Amino acid sequence: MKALSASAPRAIARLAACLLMIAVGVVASLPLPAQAHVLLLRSDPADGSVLKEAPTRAVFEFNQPLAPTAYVILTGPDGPLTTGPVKVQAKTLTLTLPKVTDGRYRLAYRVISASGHPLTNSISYVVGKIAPRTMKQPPRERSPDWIAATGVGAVVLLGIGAGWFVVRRKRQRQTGSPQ
Amino acid sequence: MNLKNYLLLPIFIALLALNGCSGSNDSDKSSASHNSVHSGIKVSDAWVAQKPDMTGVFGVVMNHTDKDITITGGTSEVATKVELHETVAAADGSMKMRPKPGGFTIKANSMHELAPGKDHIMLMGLSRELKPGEQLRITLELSNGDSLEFTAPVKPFTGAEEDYDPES
Amino acid sequence: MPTRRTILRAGVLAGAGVAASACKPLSPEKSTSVIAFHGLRQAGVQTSPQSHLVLLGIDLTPKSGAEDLGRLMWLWSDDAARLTSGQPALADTEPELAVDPANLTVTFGIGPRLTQLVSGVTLDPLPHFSTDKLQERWGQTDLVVQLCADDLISLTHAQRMLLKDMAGLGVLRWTQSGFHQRTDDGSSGRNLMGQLDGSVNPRNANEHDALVWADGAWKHGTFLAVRRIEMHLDTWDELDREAREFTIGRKLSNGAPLSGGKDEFADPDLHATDKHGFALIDPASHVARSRSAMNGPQFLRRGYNYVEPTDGTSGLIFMAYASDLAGQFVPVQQRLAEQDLLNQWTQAIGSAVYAIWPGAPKGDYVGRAQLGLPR
Ligand code: HEM
Ligand SMILES: [Cu+2]
Repeated sequence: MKALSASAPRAIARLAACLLMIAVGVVASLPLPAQAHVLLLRSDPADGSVLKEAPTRAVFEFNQPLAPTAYVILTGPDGPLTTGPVKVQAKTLTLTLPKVTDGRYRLAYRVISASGHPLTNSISYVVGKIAPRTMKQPPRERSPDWIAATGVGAVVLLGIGAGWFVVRRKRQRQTGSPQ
Repeated sequence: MNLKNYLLLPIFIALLALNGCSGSNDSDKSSASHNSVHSGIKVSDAWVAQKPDMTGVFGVVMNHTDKDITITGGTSEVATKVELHETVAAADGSMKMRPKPGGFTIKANSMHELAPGKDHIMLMGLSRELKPGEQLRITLELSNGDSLEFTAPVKPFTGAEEDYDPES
Repeated sequence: MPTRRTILRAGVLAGAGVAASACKPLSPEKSTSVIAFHGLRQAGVQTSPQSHLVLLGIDLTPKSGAEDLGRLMWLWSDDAARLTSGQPALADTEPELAVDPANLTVTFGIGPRLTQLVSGVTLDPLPHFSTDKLQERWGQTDLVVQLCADDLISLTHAQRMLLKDMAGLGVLRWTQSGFHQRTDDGSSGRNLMGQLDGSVNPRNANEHDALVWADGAWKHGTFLAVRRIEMHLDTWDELDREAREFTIGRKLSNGAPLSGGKDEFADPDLHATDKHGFALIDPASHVARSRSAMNGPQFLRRGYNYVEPTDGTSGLIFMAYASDLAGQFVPVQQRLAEQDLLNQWTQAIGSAVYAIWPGAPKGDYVGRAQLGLPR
């Protein structure tokens, strides 16, 4: 009993480390939500880019095949602009862009993955020479945030739990309170 | 909704309920079978089993008078003969039906059930095949000299296949 | 001080008391479980959906005509009148099963072939829809009987009685059994995809008169489209809640439109947009595609969920009642066939249309007057 009590803190620390590793493994191997969600991999023009000349078309590439239903809204300094029709092919969405003057543009898109998950977001870019203002970062995809938050949360909770356990055992040992 | 509406609600519900009840109470009249009331005697819920050659007529005979009335015989357009049967256990334990001596006596202010496996009216020597859902006209002769006419629908029915044993 | 609710409850109790004393053969609870069979219109349409459904698809035996149909309708009407009121049918071999009708309704209709026996009424079969994959075994029949009740004993007994009584006159082609979630707070029951189903529906008598009940030669009758729709729940399972709500255009929790509102009865706003400018209710969603430009119900949807016990497939027995199927139902189904995000998880596998007879008054039977038969 005594020997066990003496080595308890070390054992608990080892156990906590072990649990932590398992937790990290579980979080990392959570493939479903990440894969179920459709994500924008890259776009041309890229989000936040500054272009010398107005682009004539836009291409969005996603991590998953898309359903045929997709929409875009192009907004310029003077309000909404009409784009060419959107074309969906496998994982990409393509459209032609109208001739525009210099300024700041936002191209919002809504796509639906072939499996049925919608994604609504936007990219922004600047055409020509305008005062370089910090572009607003587009809101990040929700699911990875969620996973990251869960992972971090789990680690923090485990840490707190292990710490509390160690402290409690120590105190119990000191006061000699029964199990 | 104001208070007045709340006060009217119970009356409304009561009316609804009454309506629903009257529907259930006289559903025996709801069908197209015409059960004539004659000298205070009436047949309700009548039906005829769809069988070849001979078949039973069932229902409830109600005597609303203060005197006993006996059904002594009957006629029907589709039967060469109408008999009044009772069902009895034969020596071998099987159920047999046979003419009830003296007919069916319905006590004053009471009713007499005609049902498969019990007393029933038997249509003998059917002149043709009965069609499901058709209405048969049947006339009963009463001990007081009156006759009682009613119609009964033909219903598909596979139960109560008692043997006919006129001798027993 | 009495609250509104206590007054209301007192009223209901008083009403029930009167009902009980006026109606001796039935106990108080039972008096509320009777839905009258006779009337201007058949019960089971405007009736708020009971828990259980059995839908029978029946063909008339070959060479049967109006007179045969009349005899069948006599038998069926008589059975229905008795059983819905809690009394055994004639020749009922299980009279004890009839004691509690539990809101039993029995509703009769005829298919396109038989409507030609009735002058002035035609019923066209539905056109082909591009999304259909119809199976013969759930197809059109001459006759339909819709039985609904809150208790399976009552329902099953009535079903058996009607089937026994059609011997020699009708042949059973299919049976579609379904179930409906009854709620006590007025919200719609959920379907097997978890959605509140039935939010936009005719609510009051006026709306039913305008949308459901026919006029002219079929006055007080209506028309029914039955669509057996299989749900692909395995792939539906792969969707997260956001995607599921997006597909319909309503929230799963309370059925509120994605455009806002406190519950399923809030009006969807197809023009409301998110910060990007996209419609909150996606234009391809089920609600956006099925919704009328007039912002209101277009016909009565009285659907029941089903699970096929033999293979575990499940779905919706979609039933639309309308005074004019071609004018009210077909355009909606056409739009949904052209585009509806929900189509990815649903598949129509059965389809039939029926003219639902007008009701019969007491002492008469359903269909007699329309068939021109004597009393
Ligand atoms: C399995 C198949 C189906 C499912 C799961 C389904 C589900 C739903 C849901 C959840 C709603 C929103 C709530 C409500 O108003 O009830 C709805 C609305 C509606 N559905 Fe369906 N439905 C199906 C098939 C159909 C079909 C085949 C039609 C017609 C051809 C149809 C027509 C409508 C209409 C008219 C509305 C009301 C739209 C409005 O006015 O807002 N549905 N459905
Ligand atoms: Cu006999």
